[in-house]
Amino acid sequence: MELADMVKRRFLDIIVASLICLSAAVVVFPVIFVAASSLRSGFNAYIDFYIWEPRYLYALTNSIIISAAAAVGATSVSVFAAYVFAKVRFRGRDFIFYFYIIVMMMPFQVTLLPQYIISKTFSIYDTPLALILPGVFSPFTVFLLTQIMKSMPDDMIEAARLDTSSTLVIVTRIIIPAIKPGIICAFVLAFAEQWNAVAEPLVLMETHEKFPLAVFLNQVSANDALALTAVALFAVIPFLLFSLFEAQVIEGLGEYRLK
Amino acid sequence: MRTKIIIAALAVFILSVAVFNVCGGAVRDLLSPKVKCVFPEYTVYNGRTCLRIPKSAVYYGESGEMYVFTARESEKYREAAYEAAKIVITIFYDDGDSVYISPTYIPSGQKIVCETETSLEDGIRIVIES
Repeated sequence: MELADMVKRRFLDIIVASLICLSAAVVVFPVIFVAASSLRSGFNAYIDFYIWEPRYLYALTNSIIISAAAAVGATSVSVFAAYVFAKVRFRGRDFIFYFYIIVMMMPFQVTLLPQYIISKTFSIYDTPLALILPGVFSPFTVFLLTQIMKSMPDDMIEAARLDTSSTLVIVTRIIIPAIKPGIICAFVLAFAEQWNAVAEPLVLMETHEKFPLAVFLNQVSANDALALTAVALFAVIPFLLFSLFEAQVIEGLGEYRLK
Repeated sequence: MRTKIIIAALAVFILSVAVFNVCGGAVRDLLSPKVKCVFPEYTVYNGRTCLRIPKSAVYYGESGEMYVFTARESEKYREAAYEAAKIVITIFYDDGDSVYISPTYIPSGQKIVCETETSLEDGIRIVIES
C-alpha cells in the first residue's frame, strides 16, 4: 500500500514537473527565438540597431528616459503620499484614499481624454512630460506603499518622534529604510507600467521620433525585421530589472515585517 | 553572482545606448562611403532643355540600364545626413566628358554623386566631401 502511494506520488510529481517545464518553455521560447533570430546573420542586427537604423535606438532611449523618470517620480511622490494616508490622521483622509482607489480601478481610457486636455492646456502635449507627469502621480504606487506602511507598527514612528519632530527626517531615516523592498517593488512596477504603455503615447504624442519603443514597434515595416529582432530583445529590460530585484518585489508585495 | 551579472549587463547596455546616442552620428560618418557630388547643369541641346552631368556619375547595370545616384536628405537620423538614391536615366547625348539627360529625372536641388571610393546602393548613407 505504501509502495503504491509512493509510486502514485512520484507519478504526480513527474506530471506536475512536466507541466511546469512546459509552461516555462512556452514563456521562454519567444525570447529565445528572438535572440536566436537576431544572431542569424552574425551581429548585423545589433550593428543595424546601434548604427544604421538609429530610429530604434532613439525610441529605446525615449522609453528609458520616460520610464525611469516616471518610476523615480512615482516612487518619490508615493512614499510621502502613502505616509500621509497611512500614518497621519486628518478629516477626509479615508475619503481621499478611497477616491484614489476608485481612480486606480478605472480603466485608463477614462482618464485619457482629460490627460489630453490637461497636456494641451499646460503646453506639454507631444513632450515626454506629457507621459512622465501622469506616471509620477500614479495611484497604484501610492496604494501599494500605503498598504505596506499601514502594516508598520506606529510605535516605531512614535519612538522616532522622541528624537525628532521633523516628518521629513522620520520618513527619510525611518520609514524608507524600513520599507525598502516595497519601494523597490513600486519602482519596478511603475517602470514596467510606463515601459509597456501604448495608448497614452499614441494620444499624448504625435511626433514619431518622440514615441517610446512600445509604440514604435507597432509601426516598423517587415523590411526592418533584422534590426527589429535586436530591438525586441532589448524590450525585455523590465524583465531584467524584475529578476534583479525579484526578492524585493516579492517581499514588497507582502506586508511589512519587523526585523 | 547573478545580481552582479545583471547589473553589469544593464550598465553596459545603458552606457552603449548613451554612447551611440551621443556619438552615433560621428561613427556613421566614419563608416559611410565618402562621395563627391556636383549639381547638374541646365543646358540646351538640340533645342531641348537638358541636364548635363559628368560621365563618371553614370553607372551601367547588368541588364544594360543606366543610372545615377543622387544625394537626397535623409530623415532617418538626428544629424543632417544624406543617402544615395538610385535613379534610372536615359541619355540624350554623350560628348565624351558629360552626358545630357532629361531634367525630369533628377529632383530639383539634389546633387549627383560623381565620384566614390566604394560601390553604392540605393538608400545607403553617404558623406559628401567638399
